Parts: sequence; structure tokens; C-alpha cells
Amino acid sequence: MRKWLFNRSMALALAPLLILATLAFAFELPKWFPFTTNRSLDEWENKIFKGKTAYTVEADTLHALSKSSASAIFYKMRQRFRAQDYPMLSWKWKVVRFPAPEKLKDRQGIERDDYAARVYVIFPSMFILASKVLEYVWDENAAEGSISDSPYSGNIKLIVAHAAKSDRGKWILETRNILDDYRKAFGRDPALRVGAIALMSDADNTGDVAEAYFDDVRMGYRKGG
Amino acid sequence: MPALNRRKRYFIKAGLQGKYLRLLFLAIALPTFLFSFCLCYLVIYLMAEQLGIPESIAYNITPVVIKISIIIVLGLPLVSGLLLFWGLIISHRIAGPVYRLEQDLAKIAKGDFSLRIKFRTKDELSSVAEGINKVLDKIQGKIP
Repeated sequence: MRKWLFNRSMALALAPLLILATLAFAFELPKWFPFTTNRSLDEWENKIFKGKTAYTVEADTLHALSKSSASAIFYKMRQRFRAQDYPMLSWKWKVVRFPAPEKLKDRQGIERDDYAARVYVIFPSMFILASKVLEYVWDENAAEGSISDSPYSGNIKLIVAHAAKSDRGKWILETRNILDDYRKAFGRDPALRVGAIALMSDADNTGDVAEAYFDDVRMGYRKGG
Repeated sequence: MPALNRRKRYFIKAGLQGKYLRLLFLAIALPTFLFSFCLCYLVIYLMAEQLGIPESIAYNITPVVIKISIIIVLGLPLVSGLLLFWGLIISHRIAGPVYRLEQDLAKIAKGDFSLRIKFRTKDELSSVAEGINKVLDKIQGKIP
């Protein structure tokens, strides 16, 4: 009897915690990053590849300045979610300076892997190298909408989200359906959940300068939501 | 070791030695695989957590994984071969005396009480042979 009462009390005590945890997850989506104060970057981690790109909040936007560097800011979801359930992702970006376009034109592979602005959607796997990644880039030397493998791995797909040279210096709103993009890039539905998003500006391969702004990054919502 | 006493056949009792070698191999390989996998997974996971950028992960971790795979592919047959050879020698020190005991006891059973069981110095079961030899001494002393 006492054991039964103890188990019941424990269940009653844990129930609110479970409800709170569920609500916390439910309220994280859709996730919106407005970059309004310097504290907006507190929940992002800096991840350095080569040198450090400066990420600062300027006039309610995220400013990225890369001087021969490649580093990203990275947000890890508290709870991973299915792209099938919440497929929409949107953001605004503006590229002020592309990394030496004349240097990039004749290069191939890793040597060409510099982009003024990128947005990563990461589907982490238990086996790290099996993780899948959609990488939206602004590339003025490629065809808009084209999809290709990253020179680093076939599990990283580069999607040219914007290519117009004439849009340099202009704010552009991008709205993507990551489920559709995943199907186009990998030829099947994602088996993994979305676990992180990252933003990057890099110019390490050209040794040049790249400068971009990001704003209103919104992820994990349904079409029309 | 005298020339006559040198081992000529290492598989005296294939069934017994085979069981012993399989057990030895599994006892070494399974914990090694499990521990190595967990350790590699932990290190690679921590590296990936630190790196974050997918390109950085692919660039830094892929070569590590390839190197680990090469070490395993080249090292495992070598290490396994050495361990199995060592296991074969050990198993022979057990299987050899068992075989000798079987042979000699068969002769004793037929009435050859003058026979004495002799093992190699490093063989196991020497005390058993000594015990049987003492029993044979007593039996021979009682037989007129």
C-alpha cells in the first residue's frame, strides 16, 4: 500500500515536469532570431574553421565580416524536429562584399568554397560523418536553384539560394521549404531530424574580405504559419 | 630442450585447442572492439561538437576515420596472428599432456605397470602425472 502511494506520489510530482518539458519544446518552434540586441548572440556558439569571422549585432541585424577567415555561428536545437512536420525556413540577408569574384571564377573544389553568406540546416546523425546538411549559399557565379555536393562531403549539399549580382547591397528575403529542398538534394525524405542551424560568411580560400548581414531568421514552422 | 622432446605437431587435440583458441580470440577481440568503438565514438563526437561547421567536421574528422580504419585493417590481422600463435602454444601445453595421458593410461590399462608418464618441463598437469607415477610405483611394489 505504502509502495503504491509512493509510486502514485512520484507520478503526480513528475507529471507537471513532463508537461513543462513538452510545453518548452512546443514553444521553441517556430524559432525566431531577430538579432535586436547584443544578447541575441548569447544562444549562438562560435565555431571556428580557419580564423575568426566577426559576428556583431548592428542596427537590429547580424553583421558578419570575414577577413581571410572562416567561422560560423551555430544554434543547436534544444529538441530536434522533423522537417516533415515543420518544413519552413526563412531569413533575410544582404551581401555587401563578395570574396574576390575574379579569384573564385577559375577555381574548383575546396579552393572555390568561399561564400559571403551561407545558411546551414543540419540533420545530425549518431555517426557524425553520416549527418546530412543543406547549405544555402549566395553565389553570384552560379545558377540560382542549382544543387551540388560540397567539395568536402557528399552529405553536404550546396543550394544556390540567391545568385543575382545586381542585388548586392540589397536586403533579400528567402523562404525555403527544407523538406522539398532535401528531397531534391538527396532524392528521398529525411530520416534524421533537424538539430541545428548555422550562419557563416567566409573568405579564407581567396584570402579576401567578405561582408554580409543576416536578419529575421525563422525556422520550424508550417507553410502559411 | 632435447631434440626428441621438441614439438612436431601443434594441433594434438584439434577440438579442445580449437575451443580454447576461439575463446581466447573472443575474449580479446570483443572487449577490444567494444572499448575501441566507444573511445573512438567519444573522441569523434567531442571533436564534431567542437567543430560544428559541417565542412570543418568533414575536413578534420574524415582523415582521422580513414587513418583509424587503416590501422585496424593492417593491425588486426597482425595482432590476431600473434595472439593466436601464443594461444596455440599455451593450448598445446594443455592438450599435449591430455593426449599423452590418454595414450599412456591406455597402455597401463592393458597391464604395462612399468610405464611412467613423462611431461615436458613447461607442460601443465605435471602434478597429475606425478600422482599417477606414484600410484604405479606402489602397484609395482605390491606385485611380486
